[in-house]
Amino acid sequence: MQNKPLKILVADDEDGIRVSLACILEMEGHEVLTSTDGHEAIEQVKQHIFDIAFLDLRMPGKDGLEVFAEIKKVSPRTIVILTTAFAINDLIRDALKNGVYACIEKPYEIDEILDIIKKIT
Amino acid sequence: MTAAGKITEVKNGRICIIDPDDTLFQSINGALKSMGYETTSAKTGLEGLERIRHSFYELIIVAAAMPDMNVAEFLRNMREVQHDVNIPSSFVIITGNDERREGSREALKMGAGDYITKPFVIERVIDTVEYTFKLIRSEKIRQGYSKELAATQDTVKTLRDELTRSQQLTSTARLVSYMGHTLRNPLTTVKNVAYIFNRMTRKELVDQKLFFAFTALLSTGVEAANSVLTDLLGFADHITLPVTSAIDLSQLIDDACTDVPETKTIKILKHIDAQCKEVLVDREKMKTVFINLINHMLLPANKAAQLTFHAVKTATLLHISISDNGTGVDATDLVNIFEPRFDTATKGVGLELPLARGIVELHNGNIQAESTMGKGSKFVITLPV
Repeated sequence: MQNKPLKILVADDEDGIRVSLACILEMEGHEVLTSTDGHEAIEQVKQHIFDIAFLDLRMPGKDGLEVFAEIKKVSPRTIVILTTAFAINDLIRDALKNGVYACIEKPYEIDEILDIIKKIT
Repeated sequence: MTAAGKITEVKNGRICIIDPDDTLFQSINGALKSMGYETTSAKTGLEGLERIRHSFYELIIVAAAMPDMNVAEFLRNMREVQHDVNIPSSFVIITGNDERREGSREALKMGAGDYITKPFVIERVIDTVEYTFKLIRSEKIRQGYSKELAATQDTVKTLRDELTRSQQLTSTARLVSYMGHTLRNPLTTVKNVAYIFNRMTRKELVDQKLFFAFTALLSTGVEAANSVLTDLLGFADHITLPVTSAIDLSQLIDDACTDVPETKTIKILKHIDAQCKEVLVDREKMKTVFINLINHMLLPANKAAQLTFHAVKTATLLHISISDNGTGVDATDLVNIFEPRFDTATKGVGLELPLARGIVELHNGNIQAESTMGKGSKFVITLPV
């Protein structure tokens, strides 16, 4: 374990992505909690202080941008990274201006994710 | 400060005469002034360059032989002075005894416009000056036009790009783009799991019971991708040119309702114009449209559900509407109602309404959705007769 363990939230309605990304981050030594939709993610954010939150842009309930807005209120120090299968549009550009740390297009390289985490810590 | 900064409007133009012998200047100055030109003189090359550095002259009449430099050297130095691309270069006329001497040939090659051999008659110089300024003016006009032309070409290019974009964004293209993006989710799973398998030993995977969990995720991902592709291929099957025949619209609507079992418990009202006994449509495709629309009507849970079909045929158009007495759809959802959307419940792409629109468009018609919250929704199809 080279890095300081972080508390990370992974919110994605795709089981495969959520479970596999959580597993990879745990392999890196981090503590990971997951949520399958936007509402659940907001609940998690209210109960835990996360260092990083990976939010899928399109989720049932509340989307990633709505969850980001909530995180900004509850826990402004949490670093938010959006993931999306869709092209990055103006909405996301605005989110980046408003404090989203990065927006990553799927399918992403895991190393890209791990590099971002290294940069943050 | 560049010379360009000092250009002021002179009625006909500015001329600089550079000649060690003052006679030329004295003899033509009066005539040029009376013709509206502003003139200045210099006795050496350096003095001439100094003038050019501080002011812009459309025309420079320079003697081939000067005490400090020959005319070719002068031209090279002048280029240095006028190196700014924003400054137009001056026209140069050389005066001298022999075109072959004092670098004149080189100067002419470098772009000097004319050579007037001494001794000359004043009229010859005046004519040359006038001719040169005509050239300068037409050059200015040409440059104006070419700027305008470039601007027009830019506009045409922008319009063409916009047109291409809007053509590309037809419903089918939007659908393909949507499907393509949807495939990225299962691909991400596959990539992530491959990463895990590469970094964990088989023993670790088995001990932690991860191996089977991940292979299950992989096959779910592959199934999801396959389901998207199946939807896409199914869509492609339907999006073919319609084969039309005379159809009894009322009968077609009945057939469509029969294919939707839920309609058995719904009150169906039909107001079909007698003219609609024979309408020219592709029977199977239009039936698909009705089935898909019926499936998307929002039926009320708290009162008796009701679907109403209206059809009117005029000389040129066939109007068909289907309305419900359901909860209605809010305006934001209504805007995108015919766009493909990912259905998180069925893990499939909602293609029924995009397909309905696609088929109606293939009949050269159009389809619209209207809705009032609390009152109900309505699909309106317009087809050419």
